[in-house]
Amino acid sequence: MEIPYTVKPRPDTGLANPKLGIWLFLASEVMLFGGLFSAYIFLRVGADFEWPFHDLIVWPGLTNTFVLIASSVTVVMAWVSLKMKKYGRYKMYMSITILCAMIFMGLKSYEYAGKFKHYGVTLKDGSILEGHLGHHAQGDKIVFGEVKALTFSLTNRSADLRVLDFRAEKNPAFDPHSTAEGNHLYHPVHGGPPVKVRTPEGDEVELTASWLKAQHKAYAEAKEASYKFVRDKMDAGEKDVKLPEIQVKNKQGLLVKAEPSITVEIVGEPLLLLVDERDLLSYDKNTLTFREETKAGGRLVTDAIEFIPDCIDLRRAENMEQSLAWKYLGEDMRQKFFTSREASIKDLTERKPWLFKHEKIDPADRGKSHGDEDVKRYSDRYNDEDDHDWAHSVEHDKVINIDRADKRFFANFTPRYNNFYAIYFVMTGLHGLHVIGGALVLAWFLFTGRKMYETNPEQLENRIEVGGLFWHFVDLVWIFLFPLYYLM
Amino acid sequence: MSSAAHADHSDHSHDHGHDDHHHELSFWRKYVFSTDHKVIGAQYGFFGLVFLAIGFILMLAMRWSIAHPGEIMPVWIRTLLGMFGPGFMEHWAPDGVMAGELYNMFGAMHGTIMVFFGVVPLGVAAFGNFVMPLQVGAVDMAFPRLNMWSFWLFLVSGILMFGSFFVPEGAAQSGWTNYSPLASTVGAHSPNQWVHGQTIWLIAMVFNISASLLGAVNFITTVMNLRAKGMTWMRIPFFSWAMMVIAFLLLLAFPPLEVAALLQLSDRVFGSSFYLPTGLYVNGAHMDVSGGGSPLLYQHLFWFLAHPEVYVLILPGIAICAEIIPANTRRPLWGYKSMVGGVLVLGFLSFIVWAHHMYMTGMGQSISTFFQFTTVMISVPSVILLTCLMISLWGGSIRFTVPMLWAVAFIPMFGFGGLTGLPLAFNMIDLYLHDTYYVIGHFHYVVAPGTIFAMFGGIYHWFPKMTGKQLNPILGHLHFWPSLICMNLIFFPMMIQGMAGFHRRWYNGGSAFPNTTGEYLWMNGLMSNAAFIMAAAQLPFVINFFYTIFLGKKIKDDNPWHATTLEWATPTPPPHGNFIIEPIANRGPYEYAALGTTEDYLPQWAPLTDHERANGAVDLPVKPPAAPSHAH
Amino acid sequence: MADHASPSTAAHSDAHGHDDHDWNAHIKTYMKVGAILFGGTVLTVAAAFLPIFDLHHRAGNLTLGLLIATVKCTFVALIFMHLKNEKKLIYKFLLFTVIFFGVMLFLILSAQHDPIPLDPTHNMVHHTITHP
Repeated sequence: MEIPYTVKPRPDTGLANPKLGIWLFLASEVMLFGGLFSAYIFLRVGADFEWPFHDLIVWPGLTNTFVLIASSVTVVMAWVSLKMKKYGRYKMYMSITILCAMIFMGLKSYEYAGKFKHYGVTLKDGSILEGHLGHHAQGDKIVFGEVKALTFSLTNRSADLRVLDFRAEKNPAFDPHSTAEGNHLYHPVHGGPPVKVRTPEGDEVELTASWLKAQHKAYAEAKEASYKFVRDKMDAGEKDVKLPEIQVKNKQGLLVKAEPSITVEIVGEPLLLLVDERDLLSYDKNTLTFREETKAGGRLVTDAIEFIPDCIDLRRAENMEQSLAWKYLGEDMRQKFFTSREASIKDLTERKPWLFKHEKIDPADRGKSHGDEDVKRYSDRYNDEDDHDWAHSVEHDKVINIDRADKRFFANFTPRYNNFYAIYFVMTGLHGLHVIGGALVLAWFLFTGRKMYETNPEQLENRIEVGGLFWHFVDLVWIFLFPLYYLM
Repeated sequence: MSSAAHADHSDHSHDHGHDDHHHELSFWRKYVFSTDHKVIGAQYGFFGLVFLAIGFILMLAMRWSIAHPGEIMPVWIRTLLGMFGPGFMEHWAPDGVMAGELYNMFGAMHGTIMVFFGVVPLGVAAFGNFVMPLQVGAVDMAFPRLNMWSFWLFLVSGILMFGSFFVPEGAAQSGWTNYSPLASTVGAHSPNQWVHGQTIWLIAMVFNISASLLGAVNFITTVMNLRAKGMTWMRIPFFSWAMMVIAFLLLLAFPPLEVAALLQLSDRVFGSSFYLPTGLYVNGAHMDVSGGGSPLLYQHLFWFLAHPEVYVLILPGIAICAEIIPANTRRPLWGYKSMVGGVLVLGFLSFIVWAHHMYMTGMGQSISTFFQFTTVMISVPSVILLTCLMISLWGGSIRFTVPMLWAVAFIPMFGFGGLTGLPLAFNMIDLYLHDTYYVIGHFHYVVAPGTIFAMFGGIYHWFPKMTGKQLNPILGHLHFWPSLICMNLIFFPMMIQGMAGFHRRWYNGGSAFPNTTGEYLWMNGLMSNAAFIMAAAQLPFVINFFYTIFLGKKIKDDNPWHATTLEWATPTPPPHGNFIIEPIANRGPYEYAALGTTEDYLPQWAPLTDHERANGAVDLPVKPPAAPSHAH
Repeated sequence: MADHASPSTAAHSDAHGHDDHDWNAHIKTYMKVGAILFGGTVLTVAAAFLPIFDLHHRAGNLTLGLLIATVKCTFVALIFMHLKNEKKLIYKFLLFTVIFFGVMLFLILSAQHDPIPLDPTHNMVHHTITHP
């Protein structure tokens, strides 16, 4: 039996099934993006930080707006061409639409990539330094060397050999005078050689997942045995049964107390680890504790954040004059900052600040405006050829090493940085997924439509119309996203 | 869908529809990746029942912990929990005693599974898929392939959700509502956020929501566009009306939950702070996040769905009863039009009451008053619906068949659940009762002896149509009466305990606070034992279900209840394509005891009576029946 | 503009041929709308940098920008998405969608702006109890 109204509209509702379906789907999409817009407004109105303003570069967003509008026009033109029985023109317009989608996504990924590389450090007093990671030595990683002992938890089920993935070594080809990408003092070892360890019982074994699994299993069995003892007694009606000590057999076959963790000594070269702070539960001078409770004993080489700042933001600093920023940037920079600040405050009273943002900053300084009078941007070049001194630099265009003790929060400009970027990524990301999905469907219609055009042109027209409706909706969402994120 | 199915019906339709038709489809396409709404309905129904059973078992273990805190679980509960496999209990309750974490995990998953994987799939997806297209006289759903996708997305979400028990840190533990910041930060130290139960909960929900959205689009299009000839809006059976309203609720209320889930997912795996306020301390340590978010945002987005969801849970119950009751009182549904109006108003109002779940959050007086007002207002359409069902009983010649028993029990049980909700609508009283067992008692009265009773009624009512076999009434009675008694023994004491201040999330049932709870602690044992007996009371149903499917006798009649709606006009079980005659609706859906006929019922598809013609009814143009072609 | 979706014109357009002129009119409309959208985008950018209403909170720019976006959106919905010629049924449920969206937005915001004030005496009472 045929399902009615798949192509022709039903007389009393005036709609064919696909069109009714897509409009219902769009209604739910309105609520989806509606929920996100509500969240955006809620977060913005309730934000306890300065909501970023003109932080995103306008031109890619603007270009993308034009691209999407153009694609909206071409998709409707493709439909009209079909209605006019001009298949060639339909193909052309549809191809342009899909091309537009690709341009859109290309620009989007360009924008995203920039944000992943851009970092911000909020210091203890609220001063913010923005910039890039130095790529001389460790970037934002913690370097921990001379690891001679590892302790694995036997109770934590997620304990595995992840610690070995953080192994690194000193790069013999490191050139302190070069600023080339990938020129690091330490570089991670991917899939390094197996590690030999000495167990508490004195055996030398290779550190493998199966070895660790066996330790886990032995402990779990020992634990289960003692619990079974309790269960059996209680099932038999005894009350207040005490849990006996958990015991395992040692090498000599004697029962000994089972430890909830196992510590092994590394045989041979000690390890060097390059670790992200977020992979750790805690660390001190001699111990790293990973999230899965694995501990590494050794010596902390450095935990400073190697940073090339290109912007100072003192809006939220407790005291601008004594900002922690000056500890790293030096007196010269401090004076430059305040000279410029006075000038811009004076300018603000005399001129239209909305139009003045870009000019306010010294033309010699490159980079985009930050849109706030307290923000001063200076050269983001890394041009000091001689510098490989990671001590606190007083020169503005040098790499500085920020003490982790001075850091309140540190992130790149991903959802983690603040809620502006978080909702930006979620909304534009979801919108991007819609673009991809829509483009795939339209491409499917484009490449497989010929046969349907010959057998049932009206159905193809309907399909293009329905696909087009979705595409227009995607465009429509962007029409709101663009001003909300790039302009307002 | 070729016309082969069409030709097939002509000779022998009544016995085994499934075997005779569309032999061209392989087993996989016919029963697994089927696009037929009836098979999809049955699939939803089966998995809905499985998930209900799982949720029920979790609850049994929790009830043990409440009544016997710190005591070793009896062997039969440990056996039931054996469904998790040997390693699970060894890890989470090695001594056989339920720990707080396991209780929290079971609590969160009981709620989630029951609501999103049990009641909604069974009540909406299974009954809606099976009955609604038949009732409106459609050959299938409007988008059969989309329908299949919807089911498979649901199944993926169900597997993910159940699978989350087995990841190292176990399933979600933050309650079925998963409020932030708890749900955003729990397990923040696990090495991989993606394999944490709390994250998997969110991913599974995104799948579940997508499945619901596809289903909702399908339901609405089917009701609007695939109605049979003569099936005007006011001739659509109430069940199908309710399904359409439910579909609208799902369509428009689920997306904000998807937003809530996506934002929480981002908080968990990308480190954003949508729901994390500035200066958040967790476990005595400062959270390393940017802050600046708001936990209230989550609650708003969550409850924007979850309140309409309450009506998604309860409307199938009312709708099923609205079909069972007229068929068994032999009397038209009283106030059909007001019920349709009521369900529409209910649907609308359900969108503007959500914040009555949030009186405790520190909203001010004016906004609380607004929500208090709308909440009290929404009881009006609910009462209209229930009253119409009740008055429908009046003066009827009631046949107490098994489905009717469930339907009749539904009315007072749901009524009790609804009335106990009224105090909670009031801001001031809610401040005291919030998060106590009173709330648990209230909403369980609505969904457990309410919706689930109605759904059991629905199963007994439509089982003959689905399988061609009648469930055994004696086993049905054995199922119904103990269930009714136990339900009340479980949930009524909760009201008393709740007013005494028992908090809803105590894994030890309040025994840690003997000074305040001591007087009412004995009720824990009563309720738990009632729950255990109720578990036993489900056995007759399970036996009945499988016995009838495999060994039951075929029924002769396509319309065993002598009902009037179009699903009974099909062969039994309905073949692919559903109808042999062209389905038409000559009159309203509940023409029992009508004038001008010798029977006590006048089906929608029956030809016009002389009486109706005399009143100006005109025959609908019907295609001549397809010529029986035996050549295929 | 012909309603291609309605039964009468759908039947009509089956016999194309004389329709071509009609479609050319459509194309003109679409091009005009495209131009309006492009122009609107430029205006939006301009509006973002205009010193209007309120310098600090940028409320004026925000309102203006969103207003332009709404106008653009209306054109897309009415013309590109043919809503102008669509059946009442679609309007009905879109209307409810818009209502629910508005409800979600404004009730959530108003809940946020109506917090229970902190009672300064509360802490004092508490204090005297804990330190008798």
